[in-house]
Amino acid sequence: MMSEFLQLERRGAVLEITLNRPKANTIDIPLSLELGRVFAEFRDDPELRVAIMTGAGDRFYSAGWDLNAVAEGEEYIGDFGEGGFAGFPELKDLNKPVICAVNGMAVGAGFEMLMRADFVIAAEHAEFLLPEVRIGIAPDIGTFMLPKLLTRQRAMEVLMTGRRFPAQRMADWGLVNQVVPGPELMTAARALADSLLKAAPLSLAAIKEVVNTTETTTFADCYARLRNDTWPAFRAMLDSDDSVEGAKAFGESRSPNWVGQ
Amino acid sequence: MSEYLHAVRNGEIFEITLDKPKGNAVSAALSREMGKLFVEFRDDPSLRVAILTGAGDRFFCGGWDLNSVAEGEEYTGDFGEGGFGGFIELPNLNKPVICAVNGYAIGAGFEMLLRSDFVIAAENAQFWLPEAQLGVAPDVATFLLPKLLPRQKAFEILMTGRRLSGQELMDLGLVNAVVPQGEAVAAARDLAQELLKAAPLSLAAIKEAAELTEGLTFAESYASLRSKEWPAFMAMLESDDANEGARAFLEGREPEWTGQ
Repeated sequence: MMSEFLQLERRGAVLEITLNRPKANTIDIPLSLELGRVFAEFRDDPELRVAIMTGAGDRFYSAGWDLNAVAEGEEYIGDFGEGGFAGFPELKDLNKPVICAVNGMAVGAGFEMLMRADFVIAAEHAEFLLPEVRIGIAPDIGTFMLPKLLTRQRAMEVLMTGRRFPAQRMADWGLVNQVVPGPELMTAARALADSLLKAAPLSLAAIKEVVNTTETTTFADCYARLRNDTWPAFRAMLDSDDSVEGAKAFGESRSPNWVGQ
Repeated sequence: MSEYLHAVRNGEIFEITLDKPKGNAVSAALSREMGKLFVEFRDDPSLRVAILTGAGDRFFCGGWDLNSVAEGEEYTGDFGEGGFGGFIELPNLNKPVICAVNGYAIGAGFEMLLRSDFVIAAENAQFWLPEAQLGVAPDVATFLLPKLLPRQKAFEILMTGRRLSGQELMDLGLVNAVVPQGEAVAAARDLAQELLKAAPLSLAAIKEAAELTEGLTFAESYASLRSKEWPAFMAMLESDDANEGARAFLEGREPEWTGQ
């Protein structure tokens, strides 16, 4: 699968997706639908285990929703595909890690998608902003997620002022895992992906499934659900050959060989 | 209006000063008066941002007035439709509230800050919850701190009664900025001016959606948005200001908001 605006590369079990839509890597509905198909393929291919998404160039990661498409009539509450805007934020059963490597400005929905990424690595010159309130609209993902990820006061500062925030501030606030010099961005993202490959695939799937399904569940209810066996990926992990292999390899002081079963 | 409250209209900014010597403590009666002021703020379309501060440099708010407690006020009594301090429980308060913390914020005077959209603290401000050492327990903080902070930090604040500085709270994310003594209100005004550049309906949509999605998962939040049942959010999407914002952006000029 290839498109004009997406570069896809398989590096072993890692899928690298580069958004390349001059000048600002904005996304309209057709491109979002396409990203949804790419992430669905990533999800459904057992050979692929980690995705890295980045933007081409060093100026923009993504400037968000394409205002030209808006001018041409795309609706805010439109159909951006099964994965939602940019393909992964709403994709069901995406139980594999997604790393966003932020190579430049992340603006509006280009910033908001990061709040649903599992890992964010940012170039030190990257900046993050939600300018929606300055153009008479409001963010959606940011409004749902930031008050849950940050204190109310920090969330409102990002949502209501439209200020630009440097990468280091986002790291201090916990929204970015690591800040690196621009030229080292993909090296850092690949190193993280490689370290995730050392984890058992079903372990990572179990973690994402439980985190996604217990978002608003009380602690007592989480345990009740665990004990009722309501999580298929978690159960598959417990019953897997890999869980036996992991313990055996640990006992034998060697690296485990994961089969993903 | 109560003799203990001063309310000033500074353009579209509504500035409320709590002035009850010596500790700016709030009784149920005073809290109900504060609630009336925040209702006036909410319902007046010419007002867009509120700033709440305390008179003097010593106290922002000393919390619940212990004299009125001694006179029989109940913990779960009637503090007015906005709850303690007038804004923390006020329904449909879809405009930003900034607290300019000029001095000590104690007990309920600290707790109200957890529901404030923005908090600016003077360097001399201190924040603590003395309830556990007085044989009672906080309410707002007990509900909110374990959701805003890791359990360990939340319990440190809830159970030890330790005094925290503005800088410590800024590091925890509960304070937006720390400024020199005497400058909290000036800094709050600068922030208010920045907020006036945003479209009024945008800010209303954000506060409404944040409120309505508080207990929802991410998927449920989107389902709720797509049901188009959020009045302020839908009003924003269909507003003249949304068109004006896009037009001004394309024309490279500042937008002119009408709030419609």
